[in-house]
Amino acid sequence: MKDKLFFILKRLGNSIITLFVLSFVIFSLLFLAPGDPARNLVGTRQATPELLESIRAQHYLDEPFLVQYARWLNGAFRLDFGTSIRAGADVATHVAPFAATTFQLVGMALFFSVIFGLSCGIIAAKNQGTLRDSFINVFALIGTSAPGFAVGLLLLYLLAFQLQLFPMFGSGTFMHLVLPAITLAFAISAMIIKITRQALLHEINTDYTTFMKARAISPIRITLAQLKNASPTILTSTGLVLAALFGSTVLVETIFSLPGLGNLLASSVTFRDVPVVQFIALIMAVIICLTSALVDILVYLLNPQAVRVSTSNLEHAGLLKGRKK
Amino acid sequence: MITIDLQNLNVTSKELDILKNLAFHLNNSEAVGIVGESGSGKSMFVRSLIGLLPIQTSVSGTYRIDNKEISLNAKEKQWRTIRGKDIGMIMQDPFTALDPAVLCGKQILVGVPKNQRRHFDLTAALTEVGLPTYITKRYPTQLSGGQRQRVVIAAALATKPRLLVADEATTALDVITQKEILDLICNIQTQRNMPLILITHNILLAKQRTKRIFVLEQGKIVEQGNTTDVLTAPKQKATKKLLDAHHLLLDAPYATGATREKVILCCKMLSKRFGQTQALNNVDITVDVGECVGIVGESGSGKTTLGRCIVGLTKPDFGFVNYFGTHSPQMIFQDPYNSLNPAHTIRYMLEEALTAAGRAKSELEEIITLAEIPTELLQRKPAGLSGGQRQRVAIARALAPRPDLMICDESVSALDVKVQNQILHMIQKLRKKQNLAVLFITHDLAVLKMIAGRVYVMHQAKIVEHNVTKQILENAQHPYTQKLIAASEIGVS
Repeated sequence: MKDKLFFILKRLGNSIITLFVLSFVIFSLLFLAPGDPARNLVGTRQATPELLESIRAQHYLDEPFLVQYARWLNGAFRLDFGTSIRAGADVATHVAPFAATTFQLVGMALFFSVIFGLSCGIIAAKNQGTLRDSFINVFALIGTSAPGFAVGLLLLYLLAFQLQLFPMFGSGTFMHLVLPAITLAFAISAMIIKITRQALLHEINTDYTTFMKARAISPIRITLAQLKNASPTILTSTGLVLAALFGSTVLVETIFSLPGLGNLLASSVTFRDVPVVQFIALIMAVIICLTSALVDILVYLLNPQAVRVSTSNLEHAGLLKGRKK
Repeated sequence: MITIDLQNLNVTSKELDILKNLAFHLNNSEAVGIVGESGSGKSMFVRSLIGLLPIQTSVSGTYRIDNKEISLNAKEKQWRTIRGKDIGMIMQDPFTALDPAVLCGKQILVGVPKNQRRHFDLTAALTEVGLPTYITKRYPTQLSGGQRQRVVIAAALATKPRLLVADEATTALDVITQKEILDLICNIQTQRNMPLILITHNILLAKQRTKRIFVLEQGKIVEQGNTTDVLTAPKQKATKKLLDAHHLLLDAPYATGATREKVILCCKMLSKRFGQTQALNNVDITVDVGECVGIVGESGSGKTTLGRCIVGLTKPDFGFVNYFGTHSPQMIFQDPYNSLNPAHTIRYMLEEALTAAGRAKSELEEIITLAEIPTELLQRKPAGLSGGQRQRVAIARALAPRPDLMICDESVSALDVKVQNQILHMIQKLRKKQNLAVLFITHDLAVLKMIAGRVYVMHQAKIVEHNVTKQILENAQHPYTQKLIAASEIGVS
């Protein structure tokens, strides 16, 4: 119990350090962009000397770099990320509705793909070499190779335009999010299928599986044991996929005209709305750090042994006593 | 009490006969041995008893348990009424047989039929296999090989089988643990008055532990009957071959030591720790030019670490390795299946080794003659070679830099007795021809007797005894060496 708590705290501590480093990089974005930071903050407005002067004063641009960073960080802790150049409003309030849409979209896509991907992966592995397996494999191949925008357009045409089951565009309701979520889930579930199938196949061919079968242990229990052993692989890859998801919503948001983070990020970059870009980059950094920490903690809680001792190291040291060499 | 009756058992895989017309009968509580070389179909026989044959195989025959006919092609559901309850199985490799992610106690418990689980006495189950209760709260990786095999046995017994099958249950363990586990299995057999099928390639083991014996060769039972009768007067070639293979090693004369003149390797006060465990503790050894020195000890005693320190794969915490050869020492590993790159042909690998040693590719002929590799193998990849052939390739590769010292880390333990014998002879010849010093690390006293002139005995990271091989085997001083010799049943006459 003490070990577990220690591991969790250590892992979270790691994430906080990572976030600090990232926040520094993100803050530097403003200064890494070519040209005068003050001009960058002007955005697409007319850069009059008075405006530049007021921006310099507002952003304390004349102070040393580190002092500016400390000021920015201090604001960030109070959720004050400055003012959006384009909207003129507080950044956090401005971005919040966009973020909410994307979170809902990604959450739904993740839900679909985990349920679908896991079950298909398990079915494929358990029926290796049969028709079912090849069918699922073909689907996974299509899923990983079909471009997301093509799938999105196809779904729009068939389900929204022809069958009129879903709204064509817009946002606000659950139904508006289903098609985009399916589009996103299409590629992700294909990846989860492949990962689950491969990880599980490895476990199916193990001695402990044979020994469990030889003791007439129920097939469900055997599958659960195999999944538990395969969980580090499956969880780690799913975590990576989730992190990548947040960066890849822009296409889907564009096709379905959803006001999400991806769209906002793209247009903010075009309009050189630096505070908004910084804020979105920070949100993504937080999500990626949290996901990977969460995955590591979950893997540890499911399989504390796997994390604590790597058997191969012990074997190297000749510490696995009793094994004939 | 259980009766098992198998008639006309045929198992084929991809049109290859694995078992042919096999008949097997068992109707009292005795220990039965099934012996044969690897690949003779022993494991397939066990697996057909509980319906665990690989998917690509087809099986036919009549199978009766207690006069009730069972289809050999039955569905999983029907097999599950037989597995565990009628027939329990102990797996070969205790290092892989247990689920690494589950506590040992839970693994034993999960096999107990649901309605009995609440009243199951885990402490008693562990006591029966000689384990303390705290093992229930341990993961398999925290246990030694012997302890793990005891957990496997407890798990197999928890399902209350009426017949126990042990498929090479001690092959993966070192000699002393091997004996303890066999004693345990045989004790359980007598105490529970439960029939036992011992599957093994070791004919001496079958001789000591079983009443009745079946000799399997290429999927057929070639000889069967009372164990003592069969083994004292074997009628079939296959049986004789199995017996001879053991005598090859047991009756081999002692290896002759080289005249000790010039030191090639001298290790002083070597010490190494891995975390909590001391792997080497103040180890001193010397090897002379052209001499073969053996290092013997159980797994975990530090033998491998010593070898790795000498070739520089592991850095010692303290101590010196003085090597006086002109060419660096070479190492031959245990597992010839993992030490060769499967993507390359043998020719490519050996030529690469020659180039790396700064020699011309045309000198290939020399090293393959030394390692006795037929030229036609050069075009093949490792997959097309037997274990013995692969080990020859590994040796040829090690010979490329013309080493003055070769370290063999359990280099023959993955091979069967006959091939072991050939490789050992080859190494002896090499040693004499090339004036090569050999440091042979092994746990097997029979191998040691054949190859080493001098022996260091390692126990718990220390050298506990050191002498000429004959002296060690016939007049061991240290209690550990005596125990090792008693467990290995080597015929020292």
